[in-house]
Parts: sequence; structure tokens; C-alpha cells
Amino acid sequence: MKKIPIFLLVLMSVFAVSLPIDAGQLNGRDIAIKMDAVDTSLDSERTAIMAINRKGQKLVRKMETYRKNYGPDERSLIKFIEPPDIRGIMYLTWSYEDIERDDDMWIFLPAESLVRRISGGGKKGSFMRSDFANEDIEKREVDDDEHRLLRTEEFSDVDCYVVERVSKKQKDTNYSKRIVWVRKDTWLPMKVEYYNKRGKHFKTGIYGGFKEIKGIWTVTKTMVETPRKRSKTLMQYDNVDYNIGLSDAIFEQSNLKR
Amino acid sequence: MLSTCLYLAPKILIRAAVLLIFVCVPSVSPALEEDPLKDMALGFTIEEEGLNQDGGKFISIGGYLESRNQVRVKDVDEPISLRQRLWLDCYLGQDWIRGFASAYFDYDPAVRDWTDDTNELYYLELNEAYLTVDTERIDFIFGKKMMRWGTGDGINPMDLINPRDYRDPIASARADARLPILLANGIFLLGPVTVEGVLIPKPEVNKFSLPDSPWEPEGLRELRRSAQSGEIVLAPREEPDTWFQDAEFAFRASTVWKGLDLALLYYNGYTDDPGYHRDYLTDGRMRFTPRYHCYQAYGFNFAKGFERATIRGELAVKPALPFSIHPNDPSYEKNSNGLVSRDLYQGVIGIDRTFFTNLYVNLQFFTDLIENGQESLAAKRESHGITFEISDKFLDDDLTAGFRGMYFTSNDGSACEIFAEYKIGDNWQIAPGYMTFNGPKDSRLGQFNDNDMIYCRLRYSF
Repeated sequence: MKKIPIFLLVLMSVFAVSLPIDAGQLNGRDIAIKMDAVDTSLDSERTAIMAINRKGQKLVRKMETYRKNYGPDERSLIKFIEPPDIRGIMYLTWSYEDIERDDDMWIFLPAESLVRRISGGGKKGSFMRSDFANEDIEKREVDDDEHRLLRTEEFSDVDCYVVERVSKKQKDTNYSKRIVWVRKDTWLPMKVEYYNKRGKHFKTGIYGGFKEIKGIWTVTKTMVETPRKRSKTLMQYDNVDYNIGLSDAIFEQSNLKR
Repeated sequence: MLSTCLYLAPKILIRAAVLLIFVCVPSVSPALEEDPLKDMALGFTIEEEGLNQDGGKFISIGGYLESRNQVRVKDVDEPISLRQRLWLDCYLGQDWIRGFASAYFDYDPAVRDWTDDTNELYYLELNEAYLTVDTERIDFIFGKKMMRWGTGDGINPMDLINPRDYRDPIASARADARLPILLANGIFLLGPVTVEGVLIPKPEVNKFSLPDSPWEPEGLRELRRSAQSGEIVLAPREEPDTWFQDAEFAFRASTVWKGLDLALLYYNGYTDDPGYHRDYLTDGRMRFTPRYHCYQAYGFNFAKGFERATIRGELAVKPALPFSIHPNDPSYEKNSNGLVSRDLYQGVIGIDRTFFTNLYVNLQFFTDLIENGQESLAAKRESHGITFEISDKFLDDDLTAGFRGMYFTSNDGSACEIFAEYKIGDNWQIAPGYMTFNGPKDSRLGQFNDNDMIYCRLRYSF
């Protein structure tokens, strides 16, 4: 048998290690599952800073977020620090993998020391007057959308899968579809194009600041632009930490206090 | 030498290549160096705003400056309030032990229309000041604090801890304003159930509105007028004010079960409004003594969130509450103190829902039912009504506008408010509105008919 030259073996090894799984073997849902599996942590905390430029007007928001997995389900807490008029407001969400089950959500209003049950009714509304909609901020389950792999292409010199996502609950979304550019190497998003109900592309999200933190690849910056509104929002995550052993008590209503 | 080098070169290359595989490839970092956000400009940076500093400050002070002006529609020259306020908040500590305090200073020249009291013209108050000890399963809070209980909107039969703000009792056309009180609060996590206990060492009841103030109730005004003319005697209030001996306490056990918030509540304390004990003086005049009665209340609350709607409900039973007997009733005789005990049953059920993107609709039905008995009461045995709010957001969410109010279907009047809140940047807010009170002059809301107002609140938060 003819021997394969050693340098060829080496080249093949390099090629095999650096090349992602063959796109032909993956469909849109597989890619969504891969993306969903990037964050393997049990819990996390981070500080989110949001800077908004709306027609030259400057708005800034700062919040602390905590998240913990409960099997396939998840609980999260958002504490607002800035701006001053909403300082101390908190949102607690228990979200479920089962898309038929409604999330449990509460808001804490510090001026009244009042905890109120709320619904996810405002999902289509803007998140804190930014370019993000509330539905962009919340965790989406893989089965919330139909996924279709459109093509593979380079974006910003990075090989990406381009996947179309269409929400299964069209009445609860602003978008007829979203097209997502997914990095082949880390399964993180690079870009999202948002299409309105008339099928027109009206908003774009660009992802960056990719960092590996405790072995988990993480997006630490997102910029969303809505040209029609002449508005841009940059969300930056700082102090990101994973697997810190957050207490269950953080995600109880009783923790909603000043 | 050269031949040796040529011989070794492939080996070195192979080793170098193998090293490259193990050292460089696993890190996969080259691909991540391409950051599409590197060259994208927002117009300003987060660093410029100082927002990227660590949030772990030990002390943080904020607050607002506010000008809130309420002008009577029927008598523009006699405004209800021209309140100018400086409010300060202070957060202390960060972790398991932390403190919070807030205080305000008010200046309101409109009070000159009805009082010469300079304490009302310039008013300084420590609003809240408390310490929180936050541990894994048990939390404690001590100090002066607001603590509102209930799932309903504005109408909460078991929200009995904080007394009403006697100076400024109307928060909106469907909600009252309350005052913080001194209390100790313990929260215990017992598996899926949270048990909460509140101890109020010295009871705080609703203070009387000041004489001739815009929010003085019609009944109290009549009593004061009769007392001033010498027709009757209005004795000083007999408030429960002995520390610990008159202590009030409350418990709440709550859980979330299949997406449903459930809570059982218990309260043991004093009525916030007094019963007027009647007796006769030797000169034959009636004397009325406002007394606050100790009572117990039992309640049940629930709330459930759906995809776009929330339903809320509350039930309360307050046994043996004192009610005034109607003066025309035969039992309203000389040897009676004019009061009789009756059980009070209260219920609230409501729904709120968001339509389209931000159109918010909230509708709630409430009822109070006093146990039947032989004597007819001065108060209505049944009262009921609805509260409502419809609002939406406009101008890229800078403007929230709508209307809200309360309507008693038992002919106890109504209040309706058209409101708007416009945010300018992050710090400024302007909130104009119109509020109207309607109904019979002796009804709960109709008595404030003269207070129909336009108002405007301008606030700068810092």
C-alpha cells in the first residue's frame, strides 16, 4: 500500500480541526440547537450598559442581570441602576422551555415597596425606549421559531451560516422573520436583520466583543440600529461571570426589595 | 552540514506543524479577532458617560426636583396645591446588609389659602429610613418603611399597614397615597412557601385632614363646624399610641403554584379611620369621641399572568368592625354610643391586557358588603364599582397618555383623570393632566367636586 506522506497527514489534520461541521449535514434547527448550547453555565451574572443615540439625543441605562438554570427552565432577575427615575425597579422572570406554558413575571416598584404580577403582553414594545424590543431581550427557546438554513457566507471576514427564523406565534412578534448570521466557529450570532410584518428589513443588530469567559464564548457587545428612526443602541456587558453558585433565593419574589 | 540541514528540515517542519496544531488551533482565537463592532460609531462612548465604572458603590445618592401644580378648574385663583419639592434618596451598603433612606422638603404657597400654619407652607419629612439584613433563607427589615400588600390595582382590602397621606391623599383617580411607618419585617423562605411577618410597635392611623384643606372630608367638616358653633362637642382623638402594648401585627404566607400567585393574609391592628363614640354631656349636648378600634382581618389574594393578560383578585373578611348607626334608626337613642359591630366582606377582581404593541387596558370590579342586622347604618350596606385605565405610548415611547379612574356603581361618585407623561431625555419629565370628581355631594368621591383640577408636574431626576 502506498504510504501517505506525513506532511499531507499533517495538512489534513489541520484542515479537519479548523473546518466546522459540514454545512450539508446541518439544517436551520440544528444550528439553532448549537447556538442554544453555547452557554453551558448553570448560572451567570453581568452588568449591562445600554447607550442610545436617538436623533442625537443621548440616553443611558445601566442594569445588573442574574440568571440561573432550573433543568430546561430558567429564572432571571434584572435590577435597574440608571437612569435615576427607574433606579431600584426589578423584573423577575421564570421562563419555561415548554412554549405552551406562559412565563411567570413580576415587577418590583420601589417607591411603593410593591411586587406586582405582570404578563408578557408588552413583548412587542420597546425595551426602555431603546432599539431593542422586549422580545429581543428575553430568552428564545429553539422551538419558538421555525429555522431555515439559507446559505453560508462570510460576514466581517468570518465564515457564517445564514439562517432564517420565523416565529411560530406571529401575533406576539413585531417581526415577519429574522435573518441571523451565525459564526461557524463558536456558534455565536454576528448579525441579525429584522423584517417587519410587511416583509421590509427595518432594523439590524450587529454582535461583537466576543470573549471566552470561563470556557464559554460570550457576546459582550451588541449594536442595534433602526435607520428609519435615526436611532442606534449599543448594549455592552461587563463583569460577566459564570457558574458562581447563585442562591435560589435570588430568584424568589421575596428577594424583590430594596 | 548543508546536507544535515536538508535532512533535518522536513522533521523540523513536521514537528513545528504538530506543535501548531496543539498550540494554536485549540484556542480558535484568530477567528474571534474579527469584531464587526470595532469600527461602528454610536456618537458617544460608554466610557465618556462614566457608566462602565464598577457599580459596587458603598453609598449612592439620587433624587429629584419637582414642581407640581394643581389648579381648580372652577376657581383658578384658589389653587389646590403649588408644591415645589426636593426629594433625596440614599442607598447605603451593597451586600447582605444595606440601608436606604429618603427625605423631602416641600414648599407649597397654596396652603396660605386655608391655613396660617408655616409647618404646612414649608414641610420637611424623613420619608423612609430602614435597614435590610438579607440572608439565604431569612431576611429582616427594620425601620420606617412603605409596605403595600395586594394584587389589585389601587383597591386592596388587605393593604392595611400604611396609613393614608392626610396632606395629599390622592395619588391618581384610582389610587390613594400612603405614608411609611415604623415596622419590623421578617421574611422566611420555607421551601415553596414564603412566610412574612410584620410588627408595628406603635400603631399609625389616618390623621385627620387639616381644617379647610382641599381634601377635608365633608362629614368631618360638618362635625368641626357643629363643634365650632357649640352645637356639639368634638373630643380629641383617642389614638392607640402605647409602644408595644398597642402593637399591630400582620402575616402573609404566599406561594406560586402552577403559575398562580396565592397568598393568605392576616392582620391584627387598629382601624385606620375612627368610629365616633357618642355620649351626652350634663348640659345635654352630644359629645363625639373619635376612637380607633382593634380588629382582625383575614384575606386571600391571587394573580395569574397569561401571554398578554393578567388576572388579579382579592377577598377579605373583617369581623365585628364598628359602624355608625343611622340617626333615624330607633336604636340611635340616648343610652347608645351610636355604634354597632358588623362583619365586612370585601372583594376585588380585575384583568389587564396589552393590545397591539403598547395599548394597555385595565378593568377591575370591587365590592364591599356589610353584614345585615337590626339597626340601619349611616354607611351604605353595599357599595361597589369599577376602576379602569386605558393608556398607550406615542412618539417612540417618549409619551404615555390615557385616562383612568374609579366609578362607584352604588352611587358613591366617580373620579376620572386624563393624563400624559412626556419624557425628555433621561432626566426630565413633564406630566400634565385633568382630574374630575363627580357624584352626590355627600358621596365618597362627589364630596370633592370642587377639586376638579388641571395639573402639571415637571420633574428633574438626578
